[in-house]
Amino acid sequence: MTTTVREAAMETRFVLSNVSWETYECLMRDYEDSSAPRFTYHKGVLEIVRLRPRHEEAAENISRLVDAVALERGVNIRSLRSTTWKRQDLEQGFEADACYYIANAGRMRGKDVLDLRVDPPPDLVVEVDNTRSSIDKLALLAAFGVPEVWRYDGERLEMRTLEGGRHVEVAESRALRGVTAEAITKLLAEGSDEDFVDWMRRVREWAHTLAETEAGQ
Amino acid sequence: MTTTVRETVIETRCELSNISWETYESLLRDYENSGALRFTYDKGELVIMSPLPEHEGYTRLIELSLAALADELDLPILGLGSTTFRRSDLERGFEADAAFYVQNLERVRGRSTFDLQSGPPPDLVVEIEITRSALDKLDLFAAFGAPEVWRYDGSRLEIRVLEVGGYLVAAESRVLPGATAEALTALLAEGRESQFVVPLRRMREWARGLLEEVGK
Repeated sequence: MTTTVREAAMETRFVLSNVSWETYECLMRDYEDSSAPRFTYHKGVLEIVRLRPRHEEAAENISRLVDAVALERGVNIRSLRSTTWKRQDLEQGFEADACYYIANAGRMRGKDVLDLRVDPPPDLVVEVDNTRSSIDKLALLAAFGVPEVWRYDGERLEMRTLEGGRHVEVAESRALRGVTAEAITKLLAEGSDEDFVDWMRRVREWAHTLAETEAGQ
Repeated sequence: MTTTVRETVIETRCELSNISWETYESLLRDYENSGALRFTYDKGELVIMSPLPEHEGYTRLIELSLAALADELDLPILGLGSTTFRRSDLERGFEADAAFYVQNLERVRGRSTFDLQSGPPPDLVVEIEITRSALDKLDLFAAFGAPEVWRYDGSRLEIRVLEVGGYLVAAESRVLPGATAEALTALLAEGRESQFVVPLRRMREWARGLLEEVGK
């Protein structure tokens, strides 16, 4: 017998397919001080995504993992969460679940106005979703030149790095060496049903061990 | 064996807060030549809706029944469908499922836009509300001063007329005398049963029957 398990969506989507760049900019001004909902724009198509608690939780846990690794390693990162990234020349814009300057953290420190005509895109972008987007997010992130993307669908984390204009799947992060997709997947699965304190302690231990291994190499 | 099916949630309605009048106008410009979506704006609150086919079915039936009734009454009417009515001074705007000028028809004849800072609101506004909107549309219509609203929830049509202090439920239309909530509800049920295929002949018959009854 086959049992069908309906997996709950982590987000809900609404798509507008006829939106000008001007309207998109107006909307971004209206939402300047607010991160919800999440807007993605691609040449006239505007996707409005509302995040459900499981989505927010997964995004938060991934940030904690990144923070733990950076801290144990002594790597300075700049976390810009769901900052709006837009480029009029590409007619595209996005807001990620998390994004970081890592290699470029020093250069981007304290900079408040980000201008992608001169500034680099974030070194790492984290995208959580388990529902299909009507915009090809990977292609969009490639157009922005984002070097690395982590995607999490609630079950598995996938790491991708930019090679010749597209993001190809890799087992290990380039932005944070030694961190594997497998290890993150495992920790995130544990994070969803373990007590916060137990999980956080384990994350720190994991990050610590990882840092020592890296240092030893 | 277990198979996992992912739930996909494509909304047919989107509610946004903190939207400026400028953004609302910009969106209306983008969708000027497309009637596919309905935008309702009330002081920063924006509701975008993509109507379902069932929704459109009811709208057409109401429009046709109104046309038949007006014809029998020898009353000229102007149907404006989902035309945008907006007033920047009120920071409000709406696109109903259907809107009509009857008593005020002469005052708007020949107009192409309905920025209502000048000119009367539509005499009759029709709203199909199978899924309820978060915005209180009645409040919005009252702000515009629309004299009459017909609301249909998928099973019952309700006629409301504007009085001091708001809309009151009425058994019969003032805009189209003879049209009762009961008769319209029955016609819409009939339309649903025939999958929204109702001959014009039947519409005329219905309108005639209705007026004869009132005449008695």
